[in-house]
Amino acid sequence: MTDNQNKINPYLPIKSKIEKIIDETSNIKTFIFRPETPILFETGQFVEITMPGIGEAPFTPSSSPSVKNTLEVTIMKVGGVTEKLHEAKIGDIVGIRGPYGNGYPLEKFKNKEVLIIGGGVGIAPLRSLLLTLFEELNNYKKIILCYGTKMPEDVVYKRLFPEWDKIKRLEILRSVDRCPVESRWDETIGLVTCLLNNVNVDLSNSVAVVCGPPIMMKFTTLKLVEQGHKPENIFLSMERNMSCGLGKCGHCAIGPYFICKDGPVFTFEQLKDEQDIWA
Amino acid sequence: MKFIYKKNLYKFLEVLSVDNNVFYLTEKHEYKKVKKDEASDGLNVDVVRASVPLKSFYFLQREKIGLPEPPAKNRNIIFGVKSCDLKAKKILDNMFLAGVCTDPFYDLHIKNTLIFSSDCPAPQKTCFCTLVDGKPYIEAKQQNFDLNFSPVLNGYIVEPGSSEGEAIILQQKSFFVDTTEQMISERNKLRERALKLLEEINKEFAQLKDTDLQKRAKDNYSSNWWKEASKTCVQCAGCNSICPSCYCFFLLDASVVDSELPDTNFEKLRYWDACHHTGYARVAGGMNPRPKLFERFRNRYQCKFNFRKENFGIYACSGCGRCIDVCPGKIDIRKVMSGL
Repeated sequence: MTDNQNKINPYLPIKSKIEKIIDETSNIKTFIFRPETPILFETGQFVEITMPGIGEAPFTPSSSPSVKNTLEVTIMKVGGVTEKLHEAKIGDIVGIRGPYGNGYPLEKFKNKEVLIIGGGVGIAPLRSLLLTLFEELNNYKKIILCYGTKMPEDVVYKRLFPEWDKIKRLEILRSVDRCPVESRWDETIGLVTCLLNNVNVDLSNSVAVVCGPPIMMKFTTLKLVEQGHKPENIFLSMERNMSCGLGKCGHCAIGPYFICKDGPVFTFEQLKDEQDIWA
Repeated sequence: MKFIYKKNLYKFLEVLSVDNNVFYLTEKHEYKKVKKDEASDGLNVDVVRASVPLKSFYFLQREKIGLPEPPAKNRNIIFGVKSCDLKAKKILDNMFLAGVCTDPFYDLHIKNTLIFSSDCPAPQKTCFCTLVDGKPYIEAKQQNFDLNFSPVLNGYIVEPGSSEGEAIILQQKSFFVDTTEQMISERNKLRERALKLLEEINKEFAQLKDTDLQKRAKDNYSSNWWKEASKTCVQCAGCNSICPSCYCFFLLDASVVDSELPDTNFEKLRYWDACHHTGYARVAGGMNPRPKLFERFRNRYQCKFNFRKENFGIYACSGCGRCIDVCPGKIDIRKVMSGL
């Protein structure tokens, strides 16, 4: 819990105004929120966004924590709350409470090669991580981003990649599962895991970060382990039905862990002996 | 330690009811409220735990959580609480009071509740507290009760477990007399008898006693037995609701016409939830970590005997047997654990 949360009733959100909406793909939008009081978070932590009268859902901000007065959240339309969010307009008020859980342990990334693997909208929390790493680029040996989507049109942050391509210490590899005839794709075709074949990292001095749909996270993690990455150096952004965010309601449990308070960032070492983690 | 005559018991509760909401256990295993100028309606604390779990008093089945602060309420005194329910309360205390923050609603209700526990001299056939590290009576060192009542002769030995309990004995001293050696030995005899009765009731499951149930649940996670054992489960979630140590809840914004919240037509509510429900762990987009019934069934047992034991060092099952009583599929938690 941080200072900006309601001291008495932790279930109450902070009123937040939608300042800007950016269309990323046909069903993904980035919202820029301005909370009444700043919500200070660490990269990788998540918040609960409330559509008043509809309900709440968990999201990880995609902006840098160093931006204090606003926060950006990239949201795919998949359920009741996100559907309403996608209908929202600039100026509308939503509720945000948080941040919750543990973010990425940046101190463990220092002076290392950071391999980041994202799938689909899973790039959203990774963008926050990337922006944070960019702010202190000299602290990291190199950053490699492997990003996979289903099709070229599903790439989130198309607008940002040209900018990111210019960053010297950052290497970007992208893939799409398939490319319809009417689209164009000059990069790799195949699952995101196939990009790992072309990645050159120093296994003795690197960490890997994975975020994406469960099936992608499963096979990416297994491949990383196969390639020799140590389970304690693989950082996973886990997702479950985080409802209260406070480790109380039970919905996001994986074995003895509650993702909302013990995660959402876990090492594979922590989870490898738990059952059904990829569901 | 003091003694109160049985004939004075209800009068004692009536006096306390001037400033408190006093609830007492009845022969029908209900909690009834002491009402002004009304006679006792079946007061009897020498029966097993109430049918409804104790948690109903401080983890409400439905609670409004949209106000900045929980509204103040009168103090509750619950008379006739059994040790199984108090053991289960430790799980809820761990979930709601510890961790990243205190749940203000649970906290308020707990602070507003005095527990008058009582020994369980006549366990019934679904009781099995002794198989899960429990006893059919409260021990003074437990420290999570205010007064404990042990039936002896024509009354009860009353033992304080908190300063509030001690204060009540002092304030109402006209109701109490000193205990005698004979009373203490009678109490010990009755407690021994209850233990024997439990042994007799559970002789079919004797192997569970002193078994590491956490290890058993963990080692047999992939057993086919879960499928077999859950065959008659109809997912009514009765076991979840009636369980004194089940703590899951869901939050929702519900449409209402008379909301307490200004300028809105909804209320922020919290309800008990149940891990047996299909959609319990489902995420947006439809992905479900436990889509099959046997997986959800297994999860409940893993939660009780494995995961929470790992978190808090105690089983999230206190052997109250309510889930056995309530199950329309005749599922017996003792048989499930024995069959593993």
